[in-house]
Amino acid sequence: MFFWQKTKKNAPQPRGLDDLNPSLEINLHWLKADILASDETIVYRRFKTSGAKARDCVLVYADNMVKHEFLSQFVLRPMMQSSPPKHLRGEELIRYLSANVIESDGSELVARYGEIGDKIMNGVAVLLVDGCPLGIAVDAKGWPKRAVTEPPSESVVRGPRTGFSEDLGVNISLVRLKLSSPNFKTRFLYVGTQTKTKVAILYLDNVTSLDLVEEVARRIDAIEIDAVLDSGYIQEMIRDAPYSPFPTIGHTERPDVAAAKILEGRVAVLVDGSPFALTVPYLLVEAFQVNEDYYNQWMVGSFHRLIRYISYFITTSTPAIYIALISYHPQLIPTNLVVSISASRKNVPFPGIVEVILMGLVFEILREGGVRLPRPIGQAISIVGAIVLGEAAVSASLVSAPMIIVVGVTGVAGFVNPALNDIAVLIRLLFVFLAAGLGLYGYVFGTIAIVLLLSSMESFGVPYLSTMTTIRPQDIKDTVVRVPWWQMRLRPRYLATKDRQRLQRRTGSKGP
Amino acid sequence: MREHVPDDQGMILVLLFVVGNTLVFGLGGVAGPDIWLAFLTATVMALPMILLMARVRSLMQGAALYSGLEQVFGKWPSRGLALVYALYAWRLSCFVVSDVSNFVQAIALPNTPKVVVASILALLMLWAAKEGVEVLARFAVVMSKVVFAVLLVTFILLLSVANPAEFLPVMYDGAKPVFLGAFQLLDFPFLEVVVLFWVFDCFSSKRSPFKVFVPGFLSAALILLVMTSTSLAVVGADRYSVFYFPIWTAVSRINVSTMRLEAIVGVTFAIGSFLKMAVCLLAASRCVTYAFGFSDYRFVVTPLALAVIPGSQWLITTLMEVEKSAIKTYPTSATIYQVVLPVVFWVVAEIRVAKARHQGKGG
Repeated sequence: MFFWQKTKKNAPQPRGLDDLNPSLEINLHWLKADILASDETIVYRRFKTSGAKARDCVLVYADNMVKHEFLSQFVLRPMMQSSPPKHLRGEELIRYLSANVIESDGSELVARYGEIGDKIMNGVAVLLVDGCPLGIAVDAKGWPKRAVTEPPSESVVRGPRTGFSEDLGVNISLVRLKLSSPNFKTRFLYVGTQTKTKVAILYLDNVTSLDLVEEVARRIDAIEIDAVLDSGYIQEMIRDAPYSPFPTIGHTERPDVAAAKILEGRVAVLVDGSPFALTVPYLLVEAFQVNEDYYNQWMVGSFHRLIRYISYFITTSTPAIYIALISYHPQLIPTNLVVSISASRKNVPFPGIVEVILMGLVFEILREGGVRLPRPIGQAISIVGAIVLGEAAVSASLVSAPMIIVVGVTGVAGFVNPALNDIAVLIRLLFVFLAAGLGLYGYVFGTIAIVLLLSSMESFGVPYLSTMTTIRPQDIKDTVVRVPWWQMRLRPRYLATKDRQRLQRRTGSKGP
Repeated sequence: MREHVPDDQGMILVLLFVVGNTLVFGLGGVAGPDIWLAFLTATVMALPMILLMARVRSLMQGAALYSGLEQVFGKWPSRGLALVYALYAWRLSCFVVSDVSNFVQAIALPNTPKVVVASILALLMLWAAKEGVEVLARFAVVMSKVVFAVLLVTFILLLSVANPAEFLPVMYDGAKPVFLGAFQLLDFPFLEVVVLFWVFDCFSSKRSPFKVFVPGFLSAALILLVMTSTSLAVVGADRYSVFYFPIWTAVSRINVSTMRLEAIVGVTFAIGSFLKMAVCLLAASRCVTYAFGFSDYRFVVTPLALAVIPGSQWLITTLMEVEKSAIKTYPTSATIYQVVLPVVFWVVAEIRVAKARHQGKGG
């Protein structure tokens, strides 16, 4: 007791790694004074066991993080009614209680103060018994959870209606429900010096390269940050090409999408508290793929995908090409159109590039304004922007009418590919400046630069453009179009390194 | 670091390199209506040289380029050769940059100084060469899809305005123009493939050089044959050699409901040329690095790329000079780089490898 007496005089020292003391009072003192100090949500419920030799017990938990009913019914009541044999002491006693009294499937023994602190913060109740240098941690997690609903950012017409929520366990089970195979593996890591957020790595061990899994785990392990509040933190910390604006890590709110990506040989990363699963490696084609492409009939799916590619071309290039054509290459525009464009531009005092930048800026301001506003006000803003400003700007000869069309089409086409829409604005600006300076050739130089950037990028060792940089027929079946399922016999070459077979034999009624 | 290019990407790189900056020029104009014969002859004549380059590369047994070279030729001779080719590749890169800047000035931007376009190109190819051959090969495949689509559309539309009678009579002036045209085609662009020899670091297998060089070259020859012959049938044999850019002129004859398409061909020309100049710059930098025994080629790229800007302006100043040099001065020097030295390479390589194999068996 010398140590105890000595430290009692001084201020409590951190002793997170120290073992529990057999004395209940000493343990409570350290919990209240050090590990769980100044936290008024912590509940210390004192009670006694029954029988001739009643033992003093304390159940410690964080209020509103546990299921109170569960604790009363399966921990407190059986404990109070139990009368452990007299001869049992210390470790033996606690093992007896854990094995014979506590009616919970998720209980384990804890031996250190630090462990107790971590457990309680995560919704686990800890039972301490006088005379025992161990505690029993009972999993009674129960905080308000959001229901499994359809994610608003990825809603579908055809397809499952489930989406991830903020609970890691629920999210893992949602993916497991899709991939109910013993080959589906999960690995846990803890990130954040303050939060110790649980991060799960999900993969199929007969498809995914284990090197990839190791690399993902290595990068997540290397993160030293105080807190991880959303998967976005991890996304930014482990990505390749950090200075490129293009995303090299995918994210989804849908378990079916995550499962499909895992099936192709990717690794999914789930973070506790975040409804967004990360998937790596991420290739550019994925930005143009949507789960409905695979649920709809293949021709319809392919058509929609083509529309997405065309839209992206429109949203990045239309203003630049328009400026190049009207400023440098009017001979390429049909004569009637040239006449009508020049008539509409007659009274406009600005050159094309000023018009584009002015209108583009107004569009972005309206969009940014509309996004964060409640829906009715957002609509009002759109109407003011689209009709009043557009119409008024043309009649005031601030901009020409064709420019309104160009900017409108550009803006609307951008929403077709939400994953790449933010980057489209940057690409568009680059192209506009180059086209204003060098015409179509400036635009081509800009394209060369963008393709060069994309060609040089990699995501977890896989070239970013990999399915676009091959001429092998099997590898391009799921790129610009989506061929019928019966034709996609193999998984992508760069991802599924272990087992490439997707269709076991010639399947499908129309299979060739 | 060894850079490894998959065979299919390598093939497309070869293809676009050959098609590259040739897309708007009037190649083999000397042959007149027999231009297609000149193309076929040139292809047949070039093929042995292409096979020979692939063979030399394959004799190195999948080793990285320079260690392979040292095994075959010894240290100092291979360094000397590298320096000679560095000069050749750098000069070629200047030519291509000057072609594009001349073309852009003549066609679209008469008031913009050529050096502006040349500088932008130099910066872009500096970046591309620093990224290395793997990235260039990926870039080539992505861009090739645009180039092929444009070529296919323009070819179909050209057919509607082409006049097949322009090819007649066949060999009216005998075989001489055919051979003259074929020789022109050989040194520009067919045998410029020799530059690519210095770019690929290592191949996936012993047969890969053949799979990369031969189909790449043959398909490029086919594309050029088709595009050039169709253009000749559009503009006419006698006027074909008058224009600086006959293919471009031919495409400008297409009218799709009062809309014209020639700028699109210009765009593919710019893409192909860019790839070619970047490959040349990369070859030059790698050769210089090897010749002086540096460890990494990337730091040599910047000075060489910046030197291309004045180089492209001084070596050739006007479009007329391009024509002149392409016909008169270029062929002589080109023959040394494209035929004489590769043949020497091949002979030495075969002898050395045979000797090594013999010693291996004996010892």
